[in-house]
Amino acid sequence: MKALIADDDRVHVRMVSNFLRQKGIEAIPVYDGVQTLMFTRRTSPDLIILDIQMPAGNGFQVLNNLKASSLTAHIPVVVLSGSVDAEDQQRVIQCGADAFVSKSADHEELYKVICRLLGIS
Amino acid sequence: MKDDRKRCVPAGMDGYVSRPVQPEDRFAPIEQLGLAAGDAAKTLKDGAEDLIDTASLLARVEGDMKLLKELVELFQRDLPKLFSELQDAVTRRDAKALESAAHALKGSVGNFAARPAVEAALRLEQMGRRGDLTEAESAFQALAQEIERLKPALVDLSKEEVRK
Repeated sequence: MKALIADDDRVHVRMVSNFLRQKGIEAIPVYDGVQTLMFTRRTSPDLIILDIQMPAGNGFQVLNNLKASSLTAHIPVVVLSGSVDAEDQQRVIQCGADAFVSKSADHEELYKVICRLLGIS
Repeated sequence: MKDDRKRCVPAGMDGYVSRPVQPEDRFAPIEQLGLAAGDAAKTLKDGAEDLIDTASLLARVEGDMKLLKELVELFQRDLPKLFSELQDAVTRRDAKALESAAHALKGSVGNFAARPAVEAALRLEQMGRRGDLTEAESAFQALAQEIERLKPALVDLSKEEVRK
């Protein structure tokens, strides 16, 4: 199982990657929108964990792009964001995200959502 | 005694206070658990526990102190850029840039469960979002102060725990 983790906050990426590895999920870190699209095509991850606010293509743009392509539309996307704006949360789901998890939630909550999306019991 | 603390956390301990009890330590572990410790505790404590929810931070790094040290170093490296972007936005009175820079900084201090700094950054983010920058300068100073308190506390925390 491998997951792409996209966020320009390197500390956050390192923290979540470490957590995923402990759960037996390989983590591929990327730090902006363009990298996210490039590495999605290059590595075909089972899941993408995506931040909204990123340089070189924000989360909305990345989502639109991923979901518009038949090569990547099937990959589940969890948006993991520090946004407290309910509109943002609605908008990511409208853009095709499969789930929204707040950054303030603990990692186990994120893992629960990942398990649901990947069919891990 | 520091070894005791380190051994107890993975074993499921929720808080640790060593004897003789220091007044500022007494309520900190209780507060980390989110239990009401009364107003007395607030006047007693003035240490790192006030700045960082250490219990929650340690849970996030799964008790891995080497990782914590690495994260603190990364934070120190990235902070100047985030901070100057924020300062720029305040100086230029650019609401959109302020919202975005404050949001990034909020995430950055949020990684370390540093609640007072998160709240200070959130105030700026909301000002940017509302487009009302009348209080931005003082809110920025308040955040700068929180970050100045947070930096040494984080370094101490990572040093203290890695030493063992």
